[in-house]
Amino acid sequence: MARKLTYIFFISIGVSILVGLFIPHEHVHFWWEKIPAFDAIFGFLGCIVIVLGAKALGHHGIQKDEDYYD
Amino acid sequence: MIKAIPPAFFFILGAMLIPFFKGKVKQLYMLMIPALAFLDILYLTPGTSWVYNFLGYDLIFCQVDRLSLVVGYIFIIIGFLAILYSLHVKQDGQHIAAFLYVGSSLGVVFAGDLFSLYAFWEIMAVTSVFLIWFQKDRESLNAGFRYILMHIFGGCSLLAGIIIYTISKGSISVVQMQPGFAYWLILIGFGLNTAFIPIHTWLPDAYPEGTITGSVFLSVFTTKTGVYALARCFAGTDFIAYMGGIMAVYGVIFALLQNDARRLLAYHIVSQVGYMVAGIGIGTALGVNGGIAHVFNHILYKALLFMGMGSVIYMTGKRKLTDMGGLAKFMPVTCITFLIAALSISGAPGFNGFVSKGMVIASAVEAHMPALELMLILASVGTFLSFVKLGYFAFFAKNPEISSKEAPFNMQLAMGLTAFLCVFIGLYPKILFDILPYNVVSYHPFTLSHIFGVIQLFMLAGVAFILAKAMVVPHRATILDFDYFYRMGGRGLIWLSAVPMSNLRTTLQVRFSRAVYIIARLARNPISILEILTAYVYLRITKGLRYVSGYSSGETYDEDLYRRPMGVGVLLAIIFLFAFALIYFIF
Repeated sequence: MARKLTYIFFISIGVSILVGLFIPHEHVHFWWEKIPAFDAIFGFLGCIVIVLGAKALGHHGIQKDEDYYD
Repeated sequence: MIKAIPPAFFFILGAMLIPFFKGKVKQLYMLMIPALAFLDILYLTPGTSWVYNFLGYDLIFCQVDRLSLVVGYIFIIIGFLAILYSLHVKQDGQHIAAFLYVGSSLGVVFAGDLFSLYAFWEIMAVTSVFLIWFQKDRESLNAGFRYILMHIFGGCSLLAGIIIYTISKGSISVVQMQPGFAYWLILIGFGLNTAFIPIHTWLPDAYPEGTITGSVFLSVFTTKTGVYALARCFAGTDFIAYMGGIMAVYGVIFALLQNDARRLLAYHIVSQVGYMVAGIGIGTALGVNGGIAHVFNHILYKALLFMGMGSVIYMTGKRKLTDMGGLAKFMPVTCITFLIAALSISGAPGFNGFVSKGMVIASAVEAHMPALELMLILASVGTFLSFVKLGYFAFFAKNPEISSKEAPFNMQLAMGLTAFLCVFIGLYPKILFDILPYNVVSYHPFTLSHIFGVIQLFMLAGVAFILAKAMVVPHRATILDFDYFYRMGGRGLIWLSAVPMSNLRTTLQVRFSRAVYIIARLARNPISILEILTAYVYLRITKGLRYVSGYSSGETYDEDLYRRPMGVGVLLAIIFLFAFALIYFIF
């Protein structure tokens, strides 16, 4: 079941990216909107950046014990 | 025709009568108030009414235009839903605080002058803090005090700004501000309620400590009246637009580190309010419309999220993600409505967040602010990630120890209705577009490239979540924020007044009372003053002379003082013994 869901998930990613390539962008304002599958790339990289950013902040001193202020 | 009444009055006067009703009648009464207010707001026509002259200024309680109407509609709708959600609560005090809070927020929205705006602004702060204190534990008491202290600071700044503005301009009408000293003071006042970084800390500090039902009210009104006030007075300021972008990203990053479910939601308020602030700051018709549309939609899904987490906490007593998990099969209604809210806040197509978030981002593109656009998209990725995390750890993660029942019927009904509105506006946004501040909405949300863009964004964020799942597992921890500086500053202030200042006070008090004692003694017999003075001077002089001459009166420690007589005695004894022995041997 879980394996099947994973397959469906990855297939639908592929389909959405493929379909996305053939959809014209209405108004291109910035250069990166011309990159194929820009949203997918940005979603993946953005997610990694946010997780790593949060973890880095946590490790560099803002993550303390629960009773830190008591 | 009867003049329409300012909607604030329904709630403020209605609150007074709550204690006089019991049981079902009370519940009916409490639901009737927002219903009446909604009928009333439908009769409001653009223009000013309820004007009173006060000290030569016109106080306007009912200034109606498209902007105040749209915010008024949603405040009353969510007031109704949140009251429905809290119908089971037995303490009248909580209901009264909530009604006054809703009423004063509506007062701010329809205020046509800065004085009455300020008055309602302060009533909001004072009544909302009771929704935190009614939780009645130590954390909520402390958090409530921190909350009210910060709001008093913001209120003072706002008042100072208003006074300077009034004196320099001679007018108290609520209009677009011009840069100057008053401008910044008023901006700090508004910005504190809107959770500008770094004066946002009251929000994630206090909202998780509120009562289950109180937090639903809290999540709605304070920040959104702030956004409304910004839209009135500060639309189209670049600084505010970028502040919005910073808030959006900052809120998401801090949300990801949280373990307390409602604190996580509170950081998402900061983040989502960032979108509204960005739209207002861009200031174009599309930007302001998008910001206000986001106010409308955000109120619905954020209240729904707080309702969902509230019912989880109400039924299980657990508020931390590390203690939750596996609740989907015990609380299906809560779970489904929560997922609808999560999809709405993430901006999934077909839910209301998709429409308004798209408008704000499109307005950033239109205004040629590429950095802002990327920040807002990044925050949107993070929001999705964060709600995948929250949904997973609350409802689907394995937790064999947990069991629970579904929440009371009134809570389920409130969640169901709110979820319905989220989907309804998501599928039929025209109903929202028709009431936005700028009449002509030239935005088309459902273009193929927008829909597929968002789908790709979320799917790949989902892949990244699966890869990085181990890194977003919640931990038991306190996350420091800017509140560290405020708390340490506060502690420093307390130390300063408790130790050095207090010592200074004691010293001064001792010196002073001794002086008083001496003067009182001398005053009994003034003639003796001379005598005493002479004796004192003599004493001082002799003491000084002794010191100079090195003469010791025995006051200083002398180690030979007692050792010498004893030593001399022993020495004499030894000498006599020696002499005796000598004489004995010789003779």
